Amino acid sequence: MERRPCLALACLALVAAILAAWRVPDLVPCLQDDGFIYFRIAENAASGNGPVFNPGERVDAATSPVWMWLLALCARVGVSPLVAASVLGVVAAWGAVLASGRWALELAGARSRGAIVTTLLPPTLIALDVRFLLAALSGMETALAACTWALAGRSLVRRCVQGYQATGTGWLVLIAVLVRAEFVLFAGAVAAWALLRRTSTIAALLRVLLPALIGGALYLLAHAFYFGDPLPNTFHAKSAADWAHVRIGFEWLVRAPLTYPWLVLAAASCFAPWRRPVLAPIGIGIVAYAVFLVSLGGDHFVFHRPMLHLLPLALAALGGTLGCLWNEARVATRIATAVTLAALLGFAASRRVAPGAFQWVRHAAQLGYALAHSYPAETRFGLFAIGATGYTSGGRVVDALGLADVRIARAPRSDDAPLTPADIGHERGDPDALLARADVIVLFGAYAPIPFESLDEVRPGFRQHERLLNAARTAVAGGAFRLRNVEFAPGAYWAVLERAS
Amino acid sequence: MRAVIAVWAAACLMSGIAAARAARGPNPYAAGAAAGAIEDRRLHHFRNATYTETQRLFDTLLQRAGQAHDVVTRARALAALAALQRERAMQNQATAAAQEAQRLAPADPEVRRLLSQPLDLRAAGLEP
Repeated sequence: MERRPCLALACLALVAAILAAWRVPDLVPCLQDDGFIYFRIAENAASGNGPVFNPGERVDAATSPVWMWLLALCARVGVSPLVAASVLGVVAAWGAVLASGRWALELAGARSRGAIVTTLLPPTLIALDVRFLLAALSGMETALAACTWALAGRSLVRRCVQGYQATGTGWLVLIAVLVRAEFVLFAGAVAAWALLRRTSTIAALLRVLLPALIGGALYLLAHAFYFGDPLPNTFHAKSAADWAHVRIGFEWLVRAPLTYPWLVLAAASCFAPWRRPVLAPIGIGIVAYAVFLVSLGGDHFVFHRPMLHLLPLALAALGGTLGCLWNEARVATRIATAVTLAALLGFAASRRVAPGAFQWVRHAAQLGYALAHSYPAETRFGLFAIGATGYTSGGRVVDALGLADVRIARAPRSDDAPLTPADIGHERGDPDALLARADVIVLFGAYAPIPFESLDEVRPGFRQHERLLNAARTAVAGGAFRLRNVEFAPGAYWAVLERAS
Repeated sequence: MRAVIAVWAAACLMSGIAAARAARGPNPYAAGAAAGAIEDRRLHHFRNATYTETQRLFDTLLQRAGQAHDVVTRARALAALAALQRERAMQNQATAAAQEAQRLAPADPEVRRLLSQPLDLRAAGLEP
């Protein structure tokens, strides 16, 4: 890379790092409940119990094997997964900004000062947007996925579409897929485009992707050998693709540009006439990923979290396109570009997250300690949110929503009520099995500064929780279970169902 | 070239500082850590009353409305009931009770007061 773009990229790196260092103390701790699922699996793996949620039950509840094994490695050398996840998240977020900026500069081939600044402004949006940093600190793989997708996407396009030498492309694709499997949509789009445009032959593509193909096949074989299934359990728990999901997913997707206005520009830039030969496969990958998310019914996490995975990749494409445009455009177009980018930067910088984000996860963690203190070690806890409570209780968990339970993950969906956005990702459940197998069932989000006296006080929340509450009323009336309040903090109570015997 | 190296070094240093600050943040997930403010997550609760106390208030107002000998007393009981239901997020029932109260005693200032202000338990004769 020439001196001027290299200096500009270093400046972007410095700005991103300063922003992160400044903001991190205001954001931490903001771990999400699903992060604790990784922590528990990682600690089990590190202590020789295998990569499982409940020791002895070979069920894969981790969506990202790379993230889980990184945390397991840290746990093995004595670093708490909570700390490791935050540090790795910040570093990965910084890496994602750099990967995006670097590829944008390469795509634009910018040399003039104006073109370089224009090229780097879209990747700067990631550094400016506090929501990306919040996701990086959530304990989940979001920032790592964003970083590896950008690195692997760049390498694939340069090697297979542009014909540059790029070493390690197949390995990068393998890592990206093992961080988040959805990257296969982008890899497939680039491979298909390369064959269609004849920028690569089948033999050359196979040579490039050989590590990914062999590594992926070996991983699936090992997974099938250990877990008895080549796919993670979360795939079965969350797969959908019916019209009810598509309708909800489409409404979710339509709202995404309100969260990230630059996403539409980025996707459109991939199909801009003068960049189409290079960037179209990334655009096709974005469309395929969006279709996949729609088929699932979207996602229940805040800030359209799945979109964060592709932001560095997409904004590199936007930066590269705008850099080219700056070189070729007239003054009026340059002014329009500058004004648009300034507006987007202002929007990104003005985003805020509520203080005390994910407060309920802290309560759930304290509940876990209280449960461990209140019940014998062999107690089986039935949980709707298995992360924080499962991690801190250390007890055996019956997962009410099936992420860590093979039988519930494959249970048929109940059609007794219309699907709502609150149900997405929480659709499978078997209240009778939960009541039969758990000794103590934690009711979802049922905490208050006053003890609960009746099940009628518990908010249903989503359909599977409502089904459990209905079944629980019968179980309580029949004397099989009783309502109990666990004081998880002084003056704070969480309603649980306790087996009467 | 030295400037480039210096900026990269500063960026790496700042990134390290950011990671260190993330690692050294408070840990509210440790056993016994302060829980902070506890949101009341009960369904249809009334202020900080227990379920039994809320039900008692509800039953008292229903009884008062049902046993009233004149429409104004009945309207006032229904207006108080509407205020209670509104605070319990029972919007549909609250609207129905308020409309019935206004239909029974459209000119009564006490009914209007009950419907336009938070329910005063003492004034409504509902001592906790």
